[in-house]
Amino acid sequence: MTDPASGAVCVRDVWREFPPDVSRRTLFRVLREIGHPHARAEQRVALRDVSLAVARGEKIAIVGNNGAGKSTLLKIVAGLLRPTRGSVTVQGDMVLLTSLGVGMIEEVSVVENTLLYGSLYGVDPGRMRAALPDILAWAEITGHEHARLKTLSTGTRARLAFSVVRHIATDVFLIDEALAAGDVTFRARCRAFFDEPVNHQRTFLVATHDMDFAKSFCGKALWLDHGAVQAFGASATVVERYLAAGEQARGTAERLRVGSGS
Amino acid sequence: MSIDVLLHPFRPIRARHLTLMRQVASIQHGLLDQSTALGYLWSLLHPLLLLAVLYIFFSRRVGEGIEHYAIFLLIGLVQFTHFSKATSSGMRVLTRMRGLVTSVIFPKDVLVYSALLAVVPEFLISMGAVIVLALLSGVPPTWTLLLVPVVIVLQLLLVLWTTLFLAILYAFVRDLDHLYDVGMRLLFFATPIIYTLDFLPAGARRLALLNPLAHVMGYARALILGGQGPRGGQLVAFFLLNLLLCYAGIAVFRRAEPALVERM
Repeated sequence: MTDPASGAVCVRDVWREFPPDVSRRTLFRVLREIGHPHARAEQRVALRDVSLAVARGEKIAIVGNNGAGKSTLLKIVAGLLRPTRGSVTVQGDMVLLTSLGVGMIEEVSVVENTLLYGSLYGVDPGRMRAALPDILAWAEITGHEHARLKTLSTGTRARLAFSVVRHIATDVFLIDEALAAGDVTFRARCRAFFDEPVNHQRTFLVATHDMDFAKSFCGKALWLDHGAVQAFGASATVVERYLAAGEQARGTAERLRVGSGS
Repeated sequence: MSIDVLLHPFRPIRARHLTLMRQVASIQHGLLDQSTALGYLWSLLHPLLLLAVLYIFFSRRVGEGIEHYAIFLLIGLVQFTHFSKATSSGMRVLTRMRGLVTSVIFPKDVLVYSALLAVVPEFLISMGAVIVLALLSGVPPTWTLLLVPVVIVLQLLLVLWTTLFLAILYAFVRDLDHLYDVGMRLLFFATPIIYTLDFLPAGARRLALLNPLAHVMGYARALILGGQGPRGGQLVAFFLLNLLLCYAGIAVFRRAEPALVERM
């Protein structure tokens, strides 16, 4: 954490294409593709020539409509997807949070899940054990530690997960809509975590639809549209432009609807 | 550390990943219902019941002339059961934990190791029980019993590389699900579990010797039941070969990992 470069993220000319569906592969299809390379279907472009340089401690909001490539970009930075072209470098440790509670197991106890969740994100087990009372208290489930996870509501699980997140020590946080869940109180409490002094030196890349969060927490914003960078700069400016474009698109749709009706 | 370094095939496993491995293994072990007293009882009863069935059918013809045929059969069954359970669970673990695989950053071979680790206690207990039963049924105790842990390590190495390669293959070719079950049935009969190698004609025997599980079984039987044991040099060579294949398995898995993750 002392290295001044740790926490820097650099994305260079990244393109990403997806084949239509790679998960449903059977032996038959694989063999057919070997025989006929043209049997491969059309690729879908998810990212077009995206570049981004982030310094240690910067907070970047990634905004854009659904399907704009926000999640794909975060997964490429995380190394969970490979760029079709281009490259990514990340200095230091990083953590990707997609949805709160991913990886938790329904059939086992709250304590086991808490420890598992901590080690998934690299929280030291000793620290985890010491922090356990605090984690349970923050999540408001003290006394239920031996209950099986499946007896907890979705909201409670999200609280438990975020309670562990507060103890993650990393240089770079990649966050993908992880905070979309939960009620107003929960979101406010999550919000308080971001403002903690320990996070000042940490780099955050947050894909979000919460424009207030983008403007207040993030200094800069990246606007993606159909996989391409529309704008990158001060968050207030970029968010205004993004919202204005949405406004305009809705206006056009409205006019078209009126036009076709007459 | 750059992402290229993270994805390097020979990057070391970090302490935090070992913690994760133990944690996932212990949870999986608990979920297998083996950690309960009755669960452990079943992991002993299962091979014994299977033994009873096979003994009834094969002790007359096939087992004729094999000393302590029941124990001979039991050793093979315990080893085969572990091999099949471990490979089956480890091969499918990436799919089973798809959520983790596709959205949390950590080396995914950790999940394969956890799946294998989760079935180790049952194997150790079964092997222990086999030795106790052997002694109770009148097999003379010899000093070679002390070498049984070596065979156990050999089997674990064999299971490790087989599973790593199967897990890679499984990610690319999903219908391995069906092929695997048929393959296991084939392996059961192609491995000298109910018969000895001498039972086979010369050509088939040479073919059977290509099966590493047959070797591990041969070693275990020689050590527990006595008879012609493996020569030291042969044992060392076999050990090194398995070690090399584990290394290759890990290297190939790590090379293939980004592609595996994308296919989940």
